[in-house]
Amino acid sequence: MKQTFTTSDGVRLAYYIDDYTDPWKTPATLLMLHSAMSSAKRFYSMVPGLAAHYRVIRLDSRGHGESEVPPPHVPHNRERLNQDVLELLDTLGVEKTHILAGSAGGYTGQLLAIHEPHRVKSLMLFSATPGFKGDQGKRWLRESATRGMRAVFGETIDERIPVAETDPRLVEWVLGEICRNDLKWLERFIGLWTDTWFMDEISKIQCPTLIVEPGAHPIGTGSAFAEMEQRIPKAERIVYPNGRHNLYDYLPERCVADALAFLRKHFPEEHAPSPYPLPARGERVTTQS
Amino acid sequence: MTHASYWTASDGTQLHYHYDDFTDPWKEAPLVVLLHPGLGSALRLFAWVPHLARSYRVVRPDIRGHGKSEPGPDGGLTHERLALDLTELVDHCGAQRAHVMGSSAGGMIAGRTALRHPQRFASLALYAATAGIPPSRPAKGNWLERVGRDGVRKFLEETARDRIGDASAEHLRWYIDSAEGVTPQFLARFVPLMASDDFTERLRELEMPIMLGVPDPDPMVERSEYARMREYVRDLTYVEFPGASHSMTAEIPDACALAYAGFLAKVQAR
Repeated sequence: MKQTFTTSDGVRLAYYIDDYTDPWKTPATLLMLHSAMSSAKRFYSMVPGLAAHYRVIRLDSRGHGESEVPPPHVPHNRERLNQDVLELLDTLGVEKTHILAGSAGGYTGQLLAIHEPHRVKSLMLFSATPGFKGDQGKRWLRESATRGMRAVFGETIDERIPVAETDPRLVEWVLGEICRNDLKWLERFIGLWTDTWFMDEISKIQCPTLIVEPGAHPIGTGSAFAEMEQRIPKAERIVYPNGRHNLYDYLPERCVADALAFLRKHFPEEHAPSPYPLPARGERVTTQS
Repeated sequence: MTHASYWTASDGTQLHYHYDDFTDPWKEAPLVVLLHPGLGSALRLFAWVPHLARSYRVVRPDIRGHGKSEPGPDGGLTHERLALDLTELVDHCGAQRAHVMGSSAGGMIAGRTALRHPQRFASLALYAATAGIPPSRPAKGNWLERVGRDGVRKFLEETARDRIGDASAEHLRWYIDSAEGVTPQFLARFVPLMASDDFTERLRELEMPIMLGVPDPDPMVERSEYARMREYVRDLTYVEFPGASHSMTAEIPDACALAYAGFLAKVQAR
């Protein structure tokens, strides 16, 4: 169910909480941060698997999904995006959280881990490098302004989802969701990240960090993932062979399985087994027709 | 999408349900209805949701008189009324048919509804649910008398071991808290209704796939009751859970839901 709060600079942001953990225990929190041109909704397929173990919070980042598009006079910068997350955590009384993020959501995730290390328990980065250098983003925006988003992102959708191997209805749905976005806002949002590269800062990330690399490197700087693994002290990297950028859209089950395996390894106390052995005794199944 | 909402049944009673749906938005996903046991509420089945809600739209009603659902008018509690509550909810969710799982008394309601409205059922699953309560069973524990005298909480506390086994103190407290809503007055109408009309032999009329999930042994139900049901079900998947208690659907929800997901997948693949 959608909930909202208003940030200190007056922008109303939407968020969603899903929690299927035992109500008599206190679950750890896992925050999901979506990419540019996306929304919390796009993580729907990852939620049940994660929310069985964590209180899952999904934020619609400013200007996306059900969150307000900030008016032009409101300053936009990376500190403001960090602040949105911190204010949400404060609103909900969350001291420290795991962050699972896709692409640009992972830029904010990394910057939070660098600047607010006491608020971040772990980072799970899917297709997220330290910023988005190069002119790819600027080209999308320039061409979308003249030819429309549908044409530009339709032509390049295979960079995001392997069209030949994916249910065409999923491809169509993602494309539709991409094109719902406010292009003027994207010029500010993507424009900011296109001018940002903070590889030199990520050695300050102290928390366990999972780097999931789309092996086909269709978007951004492919060589950055291996460099991130070297620079971040507690990093581990998984490469999805021939993976496209939007792993979280088309491989949700695999993303959830890798995230949970990472969390179980580093935070076993959050995955305590049931106190009594019943489920382990198994079941006896008989079928008769 | 998830929400908890009220809707109005055809007799004007306000009923409550939880809805959880993480299915692909471009698909028309099948509907699954999970019916909680008597002296419970939809909260009892929360842990089933993540196992099912990627593939199915999952609706968990509070049975009338339970949880946040109103009890309805005096004298209006009949088998047909409970059946309509279920089929009207399926209508409300925009589905022709549903897979229905009922736990204990929820299973009795599901079974009796399946006999009245079989065309609305894609499948039926009964967990620790018999086809009616033999007259001897509630009398054995003086259920109604004890609930009337001591209240629902105390009664559940005293019978907790048979219902939910060796659950931790916190788990047990939640189990009792999640019965909030049901009253001794309502149970005085509900329990005799559940106990009336044993439909074991009529199970043979049902053509839909049926799953029986059975605690072995069930501390509250004679083995012979389940054994009799087995004889009459035509299209049966029978799953025993060794060592489980009567409220197995809240005691070992993951094991129960995984078995149910397996059953549903098999039915959907036909």
